[in-house]
This record gives sequence, C-alpha cells and structure tokens, in this order.
Amino acid sequence: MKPVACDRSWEAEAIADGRLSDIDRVSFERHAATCSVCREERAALARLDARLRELPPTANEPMRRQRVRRRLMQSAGEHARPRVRWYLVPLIAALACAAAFAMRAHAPTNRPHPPVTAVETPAPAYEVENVHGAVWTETTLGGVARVALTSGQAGFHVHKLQPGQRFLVSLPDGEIEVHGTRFTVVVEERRTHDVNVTEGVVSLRLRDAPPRTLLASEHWSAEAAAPTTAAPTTVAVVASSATIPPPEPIASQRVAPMPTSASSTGAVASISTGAVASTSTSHADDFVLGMAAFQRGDYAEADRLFASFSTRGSPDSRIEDAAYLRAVAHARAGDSAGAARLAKVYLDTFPNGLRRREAAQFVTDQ
Amino acid sequence: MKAALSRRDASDDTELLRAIADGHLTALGALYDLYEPDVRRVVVRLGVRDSDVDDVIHATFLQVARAAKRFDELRGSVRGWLLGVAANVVRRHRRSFARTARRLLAWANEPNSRTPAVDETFERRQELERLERAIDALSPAKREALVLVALEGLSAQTAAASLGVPVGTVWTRLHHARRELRRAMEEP
Repeated sequence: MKPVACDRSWEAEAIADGRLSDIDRVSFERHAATCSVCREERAALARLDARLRELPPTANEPMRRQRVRRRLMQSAGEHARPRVRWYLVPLIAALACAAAFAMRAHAPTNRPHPPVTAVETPAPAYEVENVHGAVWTETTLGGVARVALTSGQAGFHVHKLQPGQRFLVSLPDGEIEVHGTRFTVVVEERRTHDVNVTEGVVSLRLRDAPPRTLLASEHWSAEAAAPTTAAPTTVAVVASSATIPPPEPIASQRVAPMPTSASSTGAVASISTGAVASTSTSHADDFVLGMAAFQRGDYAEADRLFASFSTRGSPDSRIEDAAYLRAVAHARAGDSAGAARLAKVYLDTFPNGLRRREAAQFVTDQ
Repeated sequence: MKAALSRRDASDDTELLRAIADGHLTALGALYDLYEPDVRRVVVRLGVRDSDVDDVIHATFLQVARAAKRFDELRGSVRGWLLGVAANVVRRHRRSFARTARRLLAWANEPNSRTPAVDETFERRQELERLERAIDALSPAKREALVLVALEGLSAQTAAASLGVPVGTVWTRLHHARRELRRAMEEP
C-alpha cells in the first residue's frame, strides 16, 4: 500500500524555518488540524530539532584557548602595520572590558581566568630611521612596542620608558630590548651582523649565544664575537617566550640504531637524538623535507631533518610537530626504545602539547 | 549572564571590527575572547579532527584580521560573518595537503573526548551517538547548512552570503540534511 502523502507537508518545514507569512501559517495550522500526515511531519521536525539541541557541548579547555590566543597575537603582530588612531584607544579599552565581563559570565565559576587589564599603558615613543635599505614592520600592544627588522640598516631612538612600557626590536635570529636609547642594527641574510649603541642600554638576545648587555658607545659585531661552542644537542627549542622552560640537552642519549628503508641486507644507520647539521638553506625547508621523507618511508632521513629543524630555534609552531614526529619515525622504524625516549622529551617540553596522549602511549608501550 | 550579554549589541562588535581593520591587536584579542567558543563549536561540528581544531581556529581569526575591512554590517551580524569565515577556513582546510599529510601521520586513534553525563541513560547515549554519526556522514555542503542555520541559528541569508551560494541553495541543503538525519534516526 502506497504511503499516504500530502501536497502541503513541505509547509511544516518552511514554517519552522520562518519562510512563510503569518497568513500562510494560520492556513497551514487549520489544514494540519485535519491532516495526520502534516501533523506527523511537524512533530518529526520538532523531535529532530530537540535532538540537535541536546548534542553535547564542545569541551572547555582554558589552557588550550590561551595557547591559541597567544599564537594568534604573535602571528597577527608579525603582519600588522597599524595606523594608530589614538582616539579609539579608550573605546577599545572599554570594549575589551565588556568582552572580559561577558567572558567571565560565560565561564564556569571554578575555572581560573586570565588577568584583564582595565586601562592600557600607552605605547612608548620612538623613531625609526632607514639608514640603508631597512625593511621593518611596527606593532604595538598596550605599553609594548615592537619593531620587526627583516633586513638592512636601521637607526632607533627610543624615548625614556615609563613603568610598564617596553620597546623591542625583533630580529630574524633573536631580539633586542632597549631601555631608552639610540642605537643602530644591521641585518643581512636573516642574521644580525652589527649593533652599535650611542646612548642608553640595550639587551641583545641572539639564538645560539648568551644574552649580552650593551652600554652607550659599545659596539657588537658578528665577526668580532667569539664563536659559540657547539651547543649540547637538544631535541626541541622554543625561543619566543621567557615563560617556556629551556630544552634539556640530551647529547648523552643515543637512540638505538634503526634500519633504513632502503636497506636490504640489514645494515643500519644510527640516528642521534641530537642536532644534526642540515644542508637545507632554511629551517622551514627541513620541516617540509622531513614530511616528504616520512611519507615515502625514509624514517632515518625524516628524523634527521626534524631534528635539524628543531635545533634552529626560531619561533615556529611546528617545533612541537617535529618533536612528536621524531618519536613516530622511530616507532615506525621499529625502534620503540628511541620512540619512548623522544616521546618523554616531547612530554617534558610540551606538557600541554596537542599530542600528549599519543606521546604518553609511546612511553607506556615501552 | 544574559544581562551581561544583552549589554553587547551589534554596534559594539562592529566597532571592534573597525579597530581590528585599523590594526589594533587588542581588539582582535577581545573578539577572540568573545567568540572563540562559538567558532570552536562550529569547527568541531563541521568535522575537523581534534588535532587540527586549534590550527583552524587560529587561521579563522587571522583571516578575520585580514578581512575586517570588508565586513558589511548591512549584510548581517559580526557573529554570523565570523562563523561564515570559519566555515570557509574549514573548507580550505579539508582541501589542504598539510591536513592530508597529518592524517597519514596520526599514530593512534584519537580517544573519544565525549564523557557521558552521570545521569545519561544508555538509550539516550546511543541515540545521541547515532545522531552524531549521521551528522558526520553528511556531505560537507549539507553539514555546513545544518551547522550554521539549524545549530548556530544564523539566518539563511547570512549563511548564504558567507558561503557564497544562493539562499535557496542553503534551504535545499538544509532540507536534505534533515531528511538524512531523520532517516538515520529512524533506522532500527
């Protein structure tokens, strides 16, 4: 027997979606009073709607939210070139307060909240001079001003800083924090070559070198600097925040050799958990090449490239991926002991890492 | 809580977007604090794997920062526009090679992050899991319509503008999505 149908049953959904007028709605209600098909259609849609509203909420993880927020502000700051309209600052501060209030009203009462600054410290006053071919961007966030110098020679004059103000120059290979000063910086081929301080004090922090303080009339150059001793090998380097703990040197840990994918006689290539010199022209290439090696099953090469990428030390969100993938590479190659050691280093370095569950599994399986 | 939310109106969000367009990072942070839960919910409901959700959220708000100048308040709310941006980022993410590579590299099954409520009956849990599986089985286009209109309450006009399709297309996809879900729920 053919199921009973009604030409008007489509109206039940249209009314639920608000697509029909009040007159049409009244007309349908009168019709549905005498039509079981349309009544059932309306009831079925209501049941489905009720079930959809019962879907479980998305998990609330404050640490994860804050990590994404931090990464977002860093990424946005690297690309921003704001035109500062100072008259908007009080309005933005008020909107930020309202947003913080609404967020607090949303959040469970027993969860901690990040601090909210009700009134922002004004950004420091400074001037940047293009001495020779300088390329830079400027961003401000509250009382912090940051100039990202990509290349060339630039001169800086930073006015006396008030409490709560900071001025930083981001370099491809580090940063300079100044304390009210005049100085010049030369960057070539993504490396800092020269810093000359005319007035005041700067703190120079470069990758692979201890931080140094330069006073007025002091000059630092890459050629004159003593070569740094080969750093103890490390698994992962995170260099963008002072709150992240330094990586643990694991030069003494040698992972058991793992067979290469191309080997047919059982000869093995040893894989070190430490840094390996890479022939890539940029650290970003190491990660991409590492992924390619992984996908073709060359786990030894993938491990070497991920290790090289990790030890370059530039702030890159894929550092965490590389650390985890090294453990996976060792596991895929049958080296469970090495995988477990690398997984433990991952867990120590990224206690809130996205792959902490999988990494913990490596340690458990060992 | 509702009193706090009602103090916000469309003009507050529009001012936030204008400030973002002018490069004020604080405004971007404020927008993130307000709407991250909504964006996260949409991204999860559109089927993005847990290991990729944070990347997609990050990409969504970065895209908001770049596209803030193009927001037209006459075409809908900031929230609606923002969720549309999220849906488009999810679409690009589905097509990206990087995501494909990460799927290949996933070593362990992701644990089921849904913890049943203490008083949830077995039958109810079964029913909700069946519904979630049915939503997962929808095509991306139908899923977008269902999530944005039926789950997030956006108007079909706003969803259509964000997705770049006619309004009628949104209604059609929503109708088919509902039909598939009903069929799946009625199966023994």
